[in-house]
Amino acid sequence: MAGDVEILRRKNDNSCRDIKDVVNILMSRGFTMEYLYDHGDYYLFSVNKPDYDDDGRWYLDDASSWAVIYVYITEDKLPDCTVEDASGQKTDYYRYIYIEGYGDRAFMYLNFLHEYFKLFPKDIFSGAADYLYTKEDIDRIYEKEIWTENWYGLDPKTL
Amino acid sequence: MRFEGRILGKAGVNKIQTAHILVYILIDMGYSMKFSFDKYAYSISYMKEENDILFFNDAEHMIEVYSYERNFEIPTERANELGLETYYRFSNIFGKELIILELLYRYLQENPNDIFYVDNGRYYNKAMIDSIYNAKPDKNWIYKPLYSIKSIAEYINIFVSTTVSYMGGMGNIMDTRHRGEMSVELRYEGRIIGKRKNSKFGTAYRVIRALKKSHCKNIVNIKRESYNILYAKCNNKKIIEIYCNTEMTDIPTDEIKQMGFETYFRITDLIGKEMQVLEIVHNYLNKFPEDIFYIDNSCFFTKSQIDEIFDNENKNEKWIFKNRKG
Repeated sequence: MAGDVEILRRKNDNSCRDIKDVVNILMSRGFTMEYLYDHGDYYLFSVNKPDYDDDGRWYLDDASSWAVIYVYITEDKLPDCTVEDASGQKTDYYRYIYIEGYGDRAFMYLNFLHEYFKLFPKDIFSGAADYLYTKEDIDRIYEKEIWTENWYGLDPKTL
Repeated sequence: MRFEGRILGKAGVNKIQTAHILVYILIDMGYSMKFSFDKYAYSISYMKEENDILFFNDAEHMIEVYSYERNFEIPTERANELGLETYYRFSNIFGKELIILELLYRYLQENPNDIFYVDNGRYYNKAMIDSIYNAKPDKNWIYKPLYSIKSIAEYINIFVSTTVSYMGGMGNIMDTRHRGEMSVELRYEGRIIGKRKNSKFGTAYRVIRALKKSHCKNIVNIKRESYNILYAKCNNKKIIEIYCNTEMTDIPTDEIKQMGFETYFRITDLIGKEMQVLEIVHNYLNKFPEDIFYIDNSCFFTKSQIDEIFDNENKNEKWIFKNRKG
């Protein structure tokens, strides 16, 4: 679906243990109502800020106050993408965290990823237009004085 | 010293509607941060007040509440006689006694026929909770004999410190008063289930045998009212904690109920201990091949499935997610 974004991991890195760190980050960013449903090989993970309006008045929704996330704790058989680095070495990346897209969440994602990559620097972020962002890309975009509103749909080389 | 508290309500009633009442009371009390881990048969809510400590690092301010929805547990014979089953379980009440008192006071206003049970053998009804609540706040209210004014806090201190030295340093798992040092784990529990029995007394030896075969040392066996708790250190790694039901009836899912099975042993913490648990369960099922290992991520493992996993050269800690039925 358009607007969906993902965090990808290398082979064998998918783990249920890192959920604790993801929760720690989201909780400290104000998503204090969180719900994880265990489907065995993946989790359905719903996070909300307390001012989230769940009375169904969608037009009042601030897209940054909630998210529906899937966390894949066992690995897919096929990688999501393969990345070739400067020396020609190829690395496969597998789907780990999948966030359903909704509205404008550019700054929410940037803040979250900035913290996330401190703990998991080897993962990569796949944005809304399938561009890939490494920790270095995220840090660079984060450090800029002015944040680009739709950064996660743009080529990181231009940011 | 870990004690579990349970709120017991009328047995045989659909608990799904009432499963979230307690959580909302805690939110009202200021426990505004909530992480719920829904395992279908029950859900675990980790709740805490807002502060500067990272969520899962804050064991001191965290309350873990199990809300029983689709499972069935009768903790003691007395609960059975009273027609009660477990609605909520607090997996560690040590250090949280006053919060729990406040919570119970509020909860019992709306649910005056429910009972609070602590696994040191104490039962409290609404009248008792009200009178404790209206008296001077005392964090040892759960450990005090109700008819005596002598505090047994001293006794507990002595007990814990002598137990620590006896167990050669295993004290840190027993003394949950370490401030800010213990983090909270995402909890998966494993259960050895078998055919329902009239009496489960003495079955702890089965697990002790399996622990010894798995090179587990320093096995400590603590007796509570309706179960024994075993602590063992395996391969010098983390401490394994196993509840061995003697009087308690624990039937974790409808499917297990249909099978005519119940829980004999509950291993309380699998994360970080997956390989040790695999070896213990493998040794156990060699001797008791009719039993089954069930994890609360909905995975069932028979003896032959455990053997296959154990014999696999490439086995790793993800084995616990291997067998989920679609």
